[in-house]
Formats: sequence, structure tokens, C-alpha cells
Amino acid sequence: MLYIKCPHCGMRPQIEFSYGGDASVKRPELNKDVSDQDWDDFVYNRKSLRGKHLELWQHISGCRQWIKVERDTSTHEISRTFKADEEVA
Amino acid sequence: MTLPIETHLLQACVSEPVKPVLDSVVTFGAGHFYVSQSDKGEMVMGGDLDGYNSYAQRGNLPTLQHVLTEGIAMMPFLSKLKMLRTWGGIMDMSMDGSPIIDKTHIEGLYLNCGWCYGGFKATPASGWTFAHTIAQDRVHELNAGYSLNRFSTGHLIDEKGLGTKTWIS
Amino acid sequence: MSLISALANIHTTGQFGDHEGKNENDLLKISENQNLLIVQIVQYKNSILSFESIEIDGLKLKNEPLNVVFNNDTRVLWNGPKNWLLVSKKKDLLTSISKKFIETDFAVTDLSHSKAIIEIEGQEAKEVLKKGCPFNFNILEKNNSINSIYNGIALTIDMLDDNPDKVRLFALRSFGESLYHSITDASLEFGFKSI
Ligand SMILES: Cc1cc2nc3c(=O)[nH]c(=O)nc-3n(C[C@H](O)[C@H](O)[C@H](O)COP(=O)(O)OP(=O)(O)OC[C@H]3O[C@@H](n4cnc5c(N)ncnc54)[C@H](O)[C@@H]3O)c2cc1C
Ligand SMILES: [Zn+2]
Repeated sequence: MLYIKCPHCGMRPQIEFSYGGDASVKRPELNKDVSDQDWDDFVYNRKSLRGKHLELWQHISGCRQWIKVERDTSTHEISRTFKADEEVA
Repeated sequence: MTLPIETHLLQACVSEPVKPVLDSVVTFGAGHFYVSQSDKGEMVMGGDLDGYNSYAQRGNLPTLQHVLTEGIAMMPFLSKLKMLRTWGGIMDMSMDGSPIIDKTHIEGLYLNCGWCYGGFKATPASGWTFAHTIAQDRVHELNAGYSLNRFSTGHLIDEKGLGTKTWIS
Repeated sequence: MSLISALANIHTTGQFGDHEGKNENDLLKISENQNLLIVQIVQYKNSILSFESIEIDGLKLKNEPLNVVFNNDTRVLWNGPKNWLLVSKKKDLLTSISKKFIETDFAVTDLSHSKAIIEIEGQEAKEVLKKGCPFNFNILEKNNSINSIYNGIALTIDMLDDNPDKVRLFALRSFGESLYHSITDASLEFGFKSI
């Protein structure tokens, strides 16, 4: 069982969360021209990092907020967690 | 090259051996679970991904519990079995759940990947079409649909009706 | 409108499990809570109103994890950021809640009919919870509450007392029966009195 420290609620078991994928992916800006390549990168292409991976989780059975989690994909170790709107340095 | 693929983790497990009870593979369609019995009598079982990117080649118990709950719903006697071992492997999950067998924009580099849950059973056809693609430097009609650019052109393969996040289901 | 119990025909009174030879007063007690007002109050993200200045039944909301503000009749549980669950014996509070939490800034939803509520009281109450929920219950104190999951069922846990432990569990009404069976199954080894 992974334990994830929700920035709103505190340390909580993984089963209270659902996964949302790579958090570094940004939607192309609204109301601007979007190239096929940009759209492709946003919807489909993923870096799929081995090592530190910034990802989205939703605390769906807790506070229901989306959060960002920095987790190592080779060890599952979670180093930091952030609120959804927090910038990650 | 960035691919429309994410690396995920899938577990499987094997019970202690028991007398013959099952002579075929049975799957649980409402969820995601399969079971068969090996020649040695062990029940071989598996199902869902753990659901988060991973290269760890080991999984966590919540998913295993979830998968086995489906099994027990279908075959209650499974609850009496002791688990012999469990293991996890990594899965190249493509964005529509189907593989990619294609040339790339780099000369001499060919792709055969994104097999998700099903790379064993597809080996003969995958090997044959891939060999054709390499030998003739063009795709065979059988793997023409499994192209790398199908994502950008919108020609996704709807074999299972999965969206862009195959790891959700 | 009167409420139809969520656990009608499911909750039966009596003593169950390993209760023989035990002092009846020491047994776990399991009961159904009925006739409570349950209201969810959510402040919209773009609202700049101060929720601290609003008083309801003498209580002020607190945006703090685990926190429950309470008096004898009413408890306000923290559900998430600017999201609360108000539980009260005073059913007529609803009118003043709707008035005070204005609809331009708050979403107020009456959930009174949509929850099944189980109360567990006794020394082993937390042990029962630990069996189906991986939350670290050792840190859950009196007047704390959490949202979590018990045997796959989403629920809210409100810790009413700690001498002995007393918890109130809220689940979706449709999951009430499953939760009730999960909880009573988990309680069999301690023996329990269903009241
Ligand atoms: C638990 C589990 C159960 C499964 N059950 C089934 C099933 O019942 N039926 C089914 O059809 N499929 C099943 N699969 C899927 C199947 O195992 C895979 O789809 C299939 O093995 C993929 O074959 P592959 O040759 O594409 O890749 P792999 O078998 O993964 O081979 C990739 C190879 O590349 C090597 N490699 C990686 N990086 C490098 C590098 N930088 N340099 C050199 N070499 C490298 C790796 O060591 C590996 O040998 C299961 C998978 C798992 C994990
Ligand atoms: Zn949370």
C-alpha cells in the first residue's frame, strides 16, 4: 500500500485516491492556434519517466481535491506532494 | 522519440496446487480477472494494472485484493486457497490499448511495442508482420492499422473501446 | 417529511458473535442513527466571502482537516477545503442554513435522506474500523472526522467520544446494507450488542 500525504488532509492510504497521470502535461493555450503536433503531445505522447515523476492524483474518497505527487517510478517512493495550483520548484 | 505509451505495472499470482477443477481459462468480463489451472495444479490468476506509472516490477496489495475479490465473486472456492507467490511485471500501455507495429521516421528503426496486457498470445502474428515490415521496409496489410501516426491522424483502433488512458480500465 | 430508515429490515437487535460470558455493559454496541439533518455546505472557489463570520446554531465553520465544531445538537465536519457536512438533531436548522449561506457563494445540499448512519460504541470500536480501512486510527481523536473507505465503501467517520470510543459512520444510503454487514461481520469476534 502506498501512503500519500494529501496536502489538504494529511497522510492517507492509496485506496482513497485515484490516479490522473503525468502532471507536467499542459493543455495548449485556449483560443490560440494549436498545431497537430501540440495536440498530439497533449493528448497522447508521454515521457513515461523512470525515476522522479510528477503526477496527478485525486483524493476521491477523501477531500475530493486533485493534487500533485512527486513519486519515483522505480521505487514507488513519494518525495513531495503539492496542491493542484501550487507551482513545483 | 516520445511515444504514445506509458509504462505501468501488472501483477499476477499463483495459488498452492489443488486437484483438477478447471480445464480452460475463465475470465470475468464485468471486471478484469482471469484464472486458469496449471499442469501442476496451481491456480494462475491476474487482472487489473496497479494503475500508476511504474518500472518497479513489483506491485502493491490493494490491487491484488481487488482482483481476487472479482475471482471470489465468480468462484467462491478460491477464497480457501493459499497464495504461493505473486509477481509484477512492467506493461507498455499504449493510448488506445492496441500495439504499434510500424516503421519510424528514423531509417532502420522499427517499432513493435505497446502490447499492453496481451503480448504473449499475439506473438506469432506480431513476429510475422514485424519481420515483413523490416524485410520489405513497408508494413503488411495486416499491421497497416497498427501505425504510430494513428494517434495524430485520429485513426485509433477501437478494439476494446478504450480511451486515451488505458490504465484506467 | 418523516424519514424511512436506511437500515429498516436489516438492523436487528440482539446479542451476536462472541458475547457469551461477557459483561453486557462491556460489549460493543451497534446502532442505527435516524432522523438527523445532514447538510453539505460548499463555498465556491471564486467566492471571497468570509465564511468565519457566519454563525449557525452558535457554531462557526473552520477550514481545518479532521476538525469538528460542535455543540450538544449539531456537529459540523470538515469534508475538504471549504466543504463541510453539518449534522444536527435540529431539523429546522435547514431554513436558516439556506438563508445564511447565500446561493451566490455557497452550495447547500440537504443529504438527510441519502445517508445510512451506523454508530459503534465500545473499547474495540477502532479495532472494527481497522479491519476494513487502512487509515491510522491511532491518531483519530475525539471530535475528529475523516472521509475514507471501508471494504471499498466510501464513508465519513465522526469520532464522538473516546471514553469509551464512540464513532458515527455515514455511507451512501444505497451502500448502507453492505456497510452494515461489513461492520457487523468485523464485530463478531468481539461480540456485540445490537440496539
Ligand atoms: C504479470 C503479467 C501477466 C501477463 N499475462 C499475459 C497473458 O496472459 N497473455 C498475454 O498475451 N500477455 C500477457 N502479458 C503481457 C506480455 O508479457 C507482454 O506483452 C510481452 O511479454 C511483451 O513482449 P515484448 O517482446 O514486446 O517486450 P518484453 O518481453 O518486455 O521485452 C523487452 C525486452 O527489452 C529489454 N530491454 C529493455 N530496455 C533495454 C535496453 N535499454 N537495452 C536493451 N534491452 C532492453 C528488456 O530486458 C526485455 O527483455 C503479461 C504481462 C505481465 C507482466
Ligand atoms: Zn485530501
